[in-house]
Order: sequence, then structure tokens, then C-alpha cells
Amino acid sequence: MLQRSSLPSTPSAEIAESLQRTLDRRWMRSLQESLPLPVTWQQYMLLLAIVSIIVGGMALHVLLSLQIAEARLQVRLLRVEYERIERDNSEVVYQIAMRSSLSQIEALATAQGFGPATGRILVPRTELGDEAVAGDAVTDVVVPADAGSRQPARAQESTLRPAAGTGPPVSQDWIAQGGAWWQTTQQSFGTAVDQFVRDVTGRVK
Amino acid sequence: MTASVVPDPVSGAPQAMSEQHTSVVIDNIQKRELWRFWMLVFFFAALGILVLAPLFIHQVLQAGQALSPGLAHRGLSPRGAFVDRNGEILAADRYFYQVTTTPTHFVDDEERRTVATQLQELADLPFAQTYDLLVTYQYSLFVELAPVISLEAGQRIVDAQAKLEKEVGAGPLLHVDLTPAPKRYYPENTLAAHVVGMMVRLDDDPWPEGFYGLEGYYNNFLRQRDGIGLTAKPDASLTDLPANVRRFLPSVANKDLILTIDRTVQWIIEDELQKGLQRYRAKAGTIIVMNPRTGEILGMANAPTFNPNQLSKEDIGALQNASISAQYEPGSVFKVVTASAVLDTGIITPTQKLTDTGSIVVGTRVILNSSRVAWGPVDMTEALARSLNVITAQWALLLGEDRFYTYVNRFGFGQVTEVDMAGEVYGIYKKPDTEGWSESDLGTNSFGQGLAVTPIQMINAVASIANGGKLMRPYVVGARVTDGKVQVTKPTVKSITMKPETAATLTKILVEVVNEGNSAAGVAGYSIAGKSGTAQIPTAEGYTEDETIVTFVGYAPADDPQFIVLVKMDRPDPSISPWANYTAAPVFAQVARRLFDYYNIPPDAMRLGN
Repeated sequence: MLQRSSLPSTPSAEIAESLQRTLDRRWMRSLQESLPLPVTWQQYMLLLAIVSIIVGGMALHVLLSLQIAEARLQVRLLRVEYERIERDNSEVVYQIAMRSSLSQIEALATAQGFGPATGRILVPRTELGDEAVAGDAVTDVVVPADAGSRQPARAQESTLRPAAGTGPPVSQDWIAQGGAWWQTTQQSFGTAVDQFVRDVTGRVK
Repeated sequence: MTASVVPDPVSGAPQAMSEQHTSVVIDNIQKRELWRFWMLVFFFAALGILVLAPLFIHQVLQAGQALSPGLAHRGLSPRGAFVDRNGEILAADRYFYQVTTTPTHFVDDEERRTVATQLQELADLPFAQTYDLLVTYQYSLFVELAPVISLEAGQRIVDAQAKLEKEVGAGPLLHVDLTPAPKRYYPENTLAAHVVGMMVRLDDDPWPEGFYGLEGYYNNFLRQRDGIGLTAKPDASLTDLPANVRRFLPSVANKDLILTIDRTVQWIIEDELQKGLQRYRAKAGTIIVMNPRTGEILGMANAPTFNPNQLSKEDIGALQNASISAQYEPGSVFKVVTASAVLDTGIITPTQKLTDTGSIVVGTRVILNSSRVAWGPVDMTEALARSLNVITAQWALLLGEDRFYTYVNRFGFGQVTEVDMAGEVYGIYKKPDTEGWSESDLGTNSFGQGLAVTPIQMINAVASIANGGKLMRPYVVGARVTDGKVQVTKPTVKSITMKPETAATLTKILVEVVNEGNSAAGVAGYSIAGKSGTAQIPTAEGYTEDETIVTFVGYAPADDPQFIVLVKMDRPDPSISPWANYTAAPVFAQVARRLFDYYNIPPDAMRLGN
């Protein structure tokens, strides 16, 4: 598309004639009117800039499409790898499950001399004293049964001991006893006062 | 150029100028245009290269890199795993490779021999078998060379194929296809087999489908590809669960079930059931352990049982879960329903005495005590402890049929409990508006004859007494896991069977029943509430003389029930004892004793401090 004003001066009558023929076409004329070609260097640079942006956008589109395609491929490869790892993991879980089934555990325990826990001896808290109550631990000790005997494996005599670090030191027993005495005294005093109030006034405190 | 004259743009007629001057002007113009032209060419070429170069690089130079790397086999869908309440696996998928090929790809016998040899070396597939298949089906498009080979063997074939393709680029082994396929396994074998169900391939199904138990009930949930998701808003994420529960989750299918079943409890009851069946030479049996507060099933064992890993070797009759699909006449254990109804309506007080005359006529039927003895005036505790049919029939008559069957309905009989396992049945009882019902049915129904219940209905009904009159929906799946989200099953109250005060009173009575009437069910130091029931087995000719079904249902500790246990055995050897009190009750005691140990429940004296 040519614009008349952008043409250089030429003496050639043929060129002028050809140009005239071209410009005489109606559609060319309308195109020329709607999209005039740059005339000045500023317009020329503007045209180049616009074309650059369009082509740059196209290039960007192509590059991004390629990157997306690459990423998709990568995802698909990772998916395949993930599925393979999952299958391997399933195999590991299978091995663990088979080795830790209760029948396996029973066989292993029996082989090592363990047996069902029977004959558990439980001791009331009140009989444990402060140490065990403070430790809150009544622990059965599980020991292997004697070789050759078919006795239950769980120890017939439970060992009572406080949880590590929670029981008061022996040297501080008198403090704990003192505290217990104070609590008991407080409670009985409170009860006696309540009873007295009830007796005298006929009302419950 | 100041003197130059341009042609008239309209006419095109040149104006006068010197020829030499004109020539210089044209040269200048041409040079300038040429420079602009080449600038444009260079500019557009650069832009074109910017677009075309990456296309060329990726489409030509790196051609083939975007080919499909071979996605996993799309046939059989993986299924989610089952773990018990402590995270132990009860069912999961293991992967194998299926070895297939297109026989028409092998051009001659030499290639077939080569492949058969290589497969023998790599995967230990018998040469003769592979070669025969390739020859027999040489004109086919598909043949399965091996249904399953291990992952290691499959990996060896894949590695050999990769090496062959890299070094030679072609070879008959490259025509062998490996497709990973999941296969269900149950590491505990027979343990909880009826709960988990099985995978069965029916005639018209291309793949195995879940059948019975949880596999059947949750079949549509468990499939990875087309399984449904969570049916409600998730309650938590997987990471919120205790570490031991989620250690094997999520599975490949990512649709998993966390059961309420405790593997150790299940082990205990299966062990005790087997011992009980052997000791009393019973033909079949069921033990169910439930948390009466929530309806969680902690264990459910049936005998005979089966191994879901080896279904082809199993008796098909053993596949059904008798706990939810076997109907039977419960016998005297049903008296607790009549007792709770008569107490709850206030018709009878616990201490009120009725006279046992040894027989009573209800409708057209004479009802006798099982001992054939008349005990005179007895209160509710004594009536239940001695399991007196005559007194129970009197209670039913005092209630009347409307109120009696209203309570039967409230306890969930004649309807499914909605436990989440496939195969549950309704049970049967005739209502007054049912054809064929007569007043005699009211009398016999009151002590558990002439109606059919399932073990799950029976334990659930008694559990409602332990739960202060709330009948819960029993359930086996504690939580469903999908895509890292967890939907927890919430305990659901199905109906209110009685007032809490009635339940508390009845519990005290049932403790006395165990202490006085069912002492074989007792465990020293613990208060246990329960009731036994011995039912004759109905046949077309009437009730059998010696064959019985014995049941004991009990819960403990009575003041704060932690578990309820139902023990049922079919046809114990009558030469040992046909009575529940001497068969089911001792088995119950053994189970309860072990559960006290397992749950670390101290005796009442220690626990309550008296």
C-alpha cells in the first residue's frame, strides 16, 4: 500500500501513471484513508514499534506455549514416576503388613517365650502410698516365660514404681505427709462447722 | 534538493528541470529507499526468527521428546485401604505386572524363541509356556503371557527393554507390554474376614467387585477412578489424625477407610469363639463387641469363617456375615425387652411380685417355664434370674399387644440397624395387624420365641439399656479419607427405647441376674449386667428337642459401660449342655476378662474406691 505523499519525486511518467492507476482503485483509496502509511519519521517509528509489539507478543505466545507443553510433559513424567514410587511403596506396605500381622506377632512372641497376659495383680491406689499415687503408674512387667515351662509369661508379681522423676524424694516424705494431714484436718473442720451451723440454724450452709 | 521539481501528483506531467540534476536526485532517493528497505527486511527477519527459531528447536531438533511416556494401565482401578482404629492394615492393594503382547508383531519363529528365552531369564516365565502361547496365538492381536509377575521381575524386563532400545533400537522383547495392575490382599487372612468382605469377579464383570462386608458396602467409594467422594463436608484433614492411625495413609487409591474395629479385640473374640466352639462342640458361632455409648463395633467374629485371600478354597456358605444376616429366635435374652417395656410404662415396679404358677395360657397356647417348676411370688430380678417364661408372658399381657410391639419396634427389631456392611437383613416378627397374628404370639414373643432377630439387632437393643435408653446406629467405619480430607462418622441416635431411669434400674436388675442366675458370666471383682437366652430351633415339624441356639449379652462395667459383648453359639453338644448359662455365659466371661485386661479396666473396688 502506497501513499501518494510518501512517494519520492520521480520524473518517470510510467511510475506516475502506475501509481495513479493504483490509487484510482476504490478499495485502495478507502484503505489509504483509514490506515494511512507513515509519512514522517516519527510515524515510521511508531509503526515499527506497533509491529514489534505484535510480533513480540506472538513470539511470547509461542514461547509460553512451549513452556506449558514442556511443563505438561514434565508433569506427566513425574506422574509416571510417582505411580512407580507408589507401587514400590505399596510393596513396602505389603511387606510391613505381612510381617506385623497378629499371627506373625504371636508366632514371634511364642518363639521368644512370651504368652498371654493372665493373672494380673492390681493394687488399690489407697494401698500404694504417696509415691505410686504421685507417679500414677502401676506397671506390669512382662518377662519371658521360663524356658521349658508353660507358665503365663506376664509376671505374676507386679512391680509398683512411680514414673521416673515424678515421685517425691524420700527425704521429703514428711512434707507430703504434712500436706495430707493438713488437707484432712481442713476437711474435717469444714464438715464440723457445717454440721454446727445446720444444727443451730436449721439451714444448710 | 532545494531546486528540484516534483511531478504534478494529479496529472503526472513532469515539470522542467535539468537532466543532470534529475539524475542526482533519483540516485539519492534510490539510496535512501534502499537503506529503508533493507532496514525493514532485517527488522522483520529478526522478528520472524524470534518466532520461528523456538518452534524449529522444539518441533524439529527436540522432536519425540513430548511423546507419551506410557501412562499406567487404565483397566482395574486401585482401591482404598482399610485400617483398624489403631492404623493396622486390614485390606490394601499390592501391585503386580501383567505381561501381554501382540503376537502378530513377531515375524518368525526365531523371534518367538528369543522372547520366550528372555522372559524366562528375566521373569522366570517358563519357556515352553510362553513359546506355546506365541505359536498358538501367532495370528492374534493380543495374548496374556502372564497374569501377574512381581514388581522386581517386571522392572528387570523394563530395564532390558530400555537397554535394547538404546543399544540396538529394535528387538522382539520390545513387543512385550507390561501393565501394572493392583491386587487386593488381606494381611490378617481370616481375621475380621466377614467385616472386610471380599473381592469377587462375577461372570459378566471384567474386573473383580467388592462383595459383602465393607468391600461390598463401600464398593462405590473405594474405587480410585470412578468412586464417589465424601458425602458431606470434611471434618478434619488427614494430618489432624494421630500419627499411628495415618501411618499407612493415604493409599494409592487415596480413598481409605479407618475402621472402628480394634485388631486386638478382634483377635481376642475370634480366639475365644474358636475355643468356645471346640469346648462345647457347637456348629457355628458369633461374637460381637460394641461400644454401647457410640455404636462403634469394636470386633465382630463369626465361625465358620473364610480367608478372603483364598476364596476359591472356601466354602461358599461361610462367606455370609452371620452377625448381620443370620436370623434366629433369640430366646430368653429377649426378656430384657419385655422387662424394659413393662418397667418403662410403670405397670410393674422392680420389687412388685407376680405369682409364677408354672404355666399360663395365652390365647390358645400353654406357656411353661423351661424348668417346668412353679416359683410362686417373684419380683422382676428373680423372674429374670430364673428366666421365667410364665412371668414374662404375664408382663406382656399386662402391657397389651399395642404397647408391647411399640417397644419391640423402638428397640429396632424387624428393621435394619443400618450398620454399614453389605448383607444386613430385617428380622421377622408378626404385628397385631399382620395376617396370622394371634394372642398366643404375644405370649411367646415376650420370651423370645416366634420371632427372628439378627445378632446385631440383639446386641444393639441391649446396648440401648447400657446407654441410658438411647438406641444407636451401629457402625464399622469410623472415618473416610479422601484427598487428605477426613469425614468422621458421628454417633447417631436411632430412637429412644426407654427413660434413663428405667435403663438405670434395669441395669441394676441385670447385674443381679448375672450374680444370681448367670454366675458363669461373671468376672470376679467386676459388675457385669447381662442376660442369657436359650432358644430351641424351629423346624417344619416343630421345635427340635436337643438342638439349641445359645446367646449371652452383657456389658461392663455396669455403672460405666465400656463395652457390650454378645456371644451366640449354634447347636452346642447337648451331652455337654444345651443351655446358654453353661455355654455362652462362660465364653462371655472369658472375653470380658481379656477385655478388662486389654482396656486396663481395674476391678470395681479399685476403680470406685469402695
